[in-house]
Amino acid sequence: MDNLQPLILYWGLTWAVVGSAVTPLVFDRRGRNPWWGGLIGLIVGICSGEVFGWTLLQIFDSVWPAYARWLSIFGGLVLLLPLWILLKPQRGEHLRAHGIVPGTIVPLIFYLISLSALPMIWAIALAFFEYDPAQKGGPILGLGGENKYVGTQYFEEMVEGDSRNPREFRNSIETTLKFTAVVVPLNLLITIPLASMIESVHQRVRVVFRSIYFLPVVTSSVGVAIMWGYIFNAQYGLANEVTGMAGIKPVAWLQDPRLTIWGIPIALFAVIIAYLWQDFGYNTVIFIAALQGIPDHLKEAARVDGATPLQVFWHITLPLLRPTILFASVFTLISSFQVFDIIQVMTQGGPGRVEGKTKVMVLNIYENAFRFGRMGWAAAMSLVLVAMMLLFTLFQLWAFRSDWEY
Amino acid sequence: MMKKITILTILAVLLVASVVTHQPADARQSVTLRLWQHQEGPFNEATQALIDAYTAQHPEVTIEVETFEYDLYLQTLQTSLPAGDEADILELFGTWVCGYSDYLAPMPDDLAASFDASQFYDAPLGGYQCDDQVYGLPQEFNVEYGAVLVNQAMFEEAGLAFPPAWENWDALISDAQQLVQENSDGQMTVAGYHFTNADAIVFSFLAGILQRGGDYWNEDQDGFQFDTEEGLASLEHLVNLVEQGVVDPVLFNDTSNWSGDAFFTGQTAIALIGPWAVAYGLDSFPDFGAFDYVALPAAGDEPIFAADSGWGMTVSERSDHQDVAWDFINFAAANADNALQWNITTGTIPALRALVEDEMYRTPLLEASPWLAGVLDELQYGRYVGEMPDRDLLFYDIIYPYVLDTLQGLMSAEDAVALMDEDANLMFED
Repeated sequence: MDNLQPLILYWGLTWAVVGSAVTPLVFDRRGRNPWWGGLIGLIVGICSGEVFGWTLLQIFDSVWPAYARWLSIFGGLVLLLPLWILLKPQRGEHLRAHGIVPGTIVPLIFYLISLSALPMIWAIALAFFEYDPAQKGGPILGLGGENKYVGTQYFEEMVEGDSRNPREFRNSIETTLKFTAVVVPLNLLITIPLASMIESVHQRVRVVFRSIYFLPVVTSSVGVAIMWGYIFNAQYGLANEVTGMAGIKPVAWLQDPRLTIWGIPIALFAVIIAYLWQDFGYNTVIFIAALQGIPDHLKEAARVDGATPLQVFWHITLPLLRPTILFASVFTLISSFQVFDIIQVMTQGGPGRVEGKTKVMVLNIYENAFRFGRMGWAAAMSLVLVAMMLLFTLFQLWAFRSDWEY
Repeated sequence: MMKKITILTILAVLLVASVVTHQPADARQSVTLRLWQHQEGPFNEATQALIDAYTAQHPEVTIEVETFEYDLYLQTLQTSLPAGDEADILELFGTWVCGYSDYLAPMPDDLAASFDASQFYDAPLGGYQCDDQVYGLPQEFNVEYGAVLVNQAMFEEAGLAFPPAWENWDALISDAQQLVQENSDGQMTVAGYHFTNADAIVFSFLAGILQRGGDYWNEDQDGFQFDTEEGLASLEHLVNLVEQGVVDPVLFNDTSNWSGDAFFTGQTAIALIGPWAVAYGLDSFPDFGAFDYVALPAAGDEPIFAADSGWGMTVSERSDHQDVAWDFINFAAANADNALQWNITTGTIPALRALVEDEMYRTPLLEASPWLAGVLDELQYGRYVGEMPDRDLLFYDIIYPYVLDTLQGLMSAEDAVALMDEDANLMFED
């Protein structure tokens, strides 16, 4: 029986969740502390899932091999069921309805720790090692050995190094910042007026517009990228057809590294257009919801005082949207820092292969980690990306802060 | 209640213990092997045929194939080999093998005792030999340089002789210039000679160095030397091709109009690509017209070229059935009849010398893949590219980007070879 690692994960994760979700309810019914139930259920679930998952696999593999893996999933019940059935009531059976809290929180905390916190800690650790999964590392998690400790070397190289990796890193930071600097304001400039316009029309029409504008958000990014790739195709694309009507000579939007507008590569603009097209529906819907929350009497009072619609929008609506603008700008900034799929499909970081004109940080991290096996260097870049997002978010929180409610 | 739980726990422990000690009698007889392979129609089909043939002879053996999309396969290998959950038999590209040799089983002694390395070409086998041990067997001789695909209809339409027999580069450039087509805006719609995808650029550059009498390895074979007279001349030759207008490297490269697609969609008349692309092309474009595969002119006396080993099979060090897995590999790669069928189905060049040098095998090979005639006699000039710390990094992240940027006019040839030299040699630093 080979390749048990995925099953070991399934056994553990499945029964950790079931155990920690159900056992608090059982404990609560028997008058016991449900938080202890969550903890005990978690431990018993994992142990039972692993030990009896493996046991059932061995048993059924010899008699019913086609279903052995599926049946092994029930291993967790071997100890959990007796625990639930045989647990003695402490102070008489009565439902206190407190078990639901640990029954939902303990599994979530478990998932958060195992699938988010631990990988994050692992990424932080990797940033200090020359880690390549193909190399033979030391006995503890593969760290050490050929995956040697390099301390803060990567971070020093990022600042001072002039070899290829640091140069690519600095180039990807510059590209990411350019991308974000264009995307965030453009997104807000499009979505706020658009949401106001949609909000101002009749409710039935509003639903139609809202659906239409939200459609690209739920469309596959790869599909969007392929479609825009065709539009920007240098030889047969729609973009060149349209600009050709205005007498502009066709350009290689996604391929020519020499073309720039205001210092920004034209390929980056092309990618930004595709990204905005897919993304702006999300903020539009958020702003529509926010606009619906602004009390009408505030606008009415302004109109009574003789304010024009533009003045109402500028002096009443926009200031009251400030918390929503903060929310939208923070999330747009974070998602634009994380842009990957559209660029990977449309340009693969090019044009310009040495200093890719659209090679953003996540693409650089991906290539280093999964194409060239430089996990340590990629992890160090990830930490810098997180730090940048944190700094920019803190700045936005400060810039758009408000101390009032309506 | 404690008594009940204790009894249940004891019963559970007994159940586990009984399973641990119980081994089914027939488990020792039947062998199930897992085989990993990248996804590519003809390759998967050809390997399955080998498995069917092998299991027919060995009914106690079952081989389960799992295929992965190419990029995913790279990642899966990178993570699974150190984690230890890889398959028993791994299809690997020759130049990856030494990088993974810590996790691979060398050829067993009994097989090694009778193994004749000379039955394989040096270039493909070279990838599977690490520290005097053989870690797998090649199934193909991967050739990315030496011959080009040529489109008969386009040549005839341009009034050029077909198949072409270029005596020198000037003759090829002349033909390519006549084959170029542009639209009314002056954009190139059909390239004359498309050599600007990643593999073509890398192998053109390396072959250019070798044919001019140079070497990209230093004397001790522990570092690269691109910033040499031959390196510069090789790159300048490629720049000259672009300046002569045979291809627009902005519109034709690895991400835009890749040469495999460009050739079979009529966007290039001459494409520098390995013959493996023919199986792919005919699979995707079955109605494509007549074509041929003809030799490129040499820059020096001999058409020496660097060759990149090729696809083959290896055995995991952790496999419980290494002997059976190696037996299957030997059956697939070293048996001339089986290897021939695999090469015919995949449209690849054999790694076994007999299939090329023995008419008994060469004839059916050329009947199935007549375009190989142009390259089989060139195989003798193939030289293994060498054991590199990271072949993909050197090829796709160093040589290709610098050369393409030079061809696109973003940097000078002198700067490009100097930077290539510097970046490539960083791979050897601890």
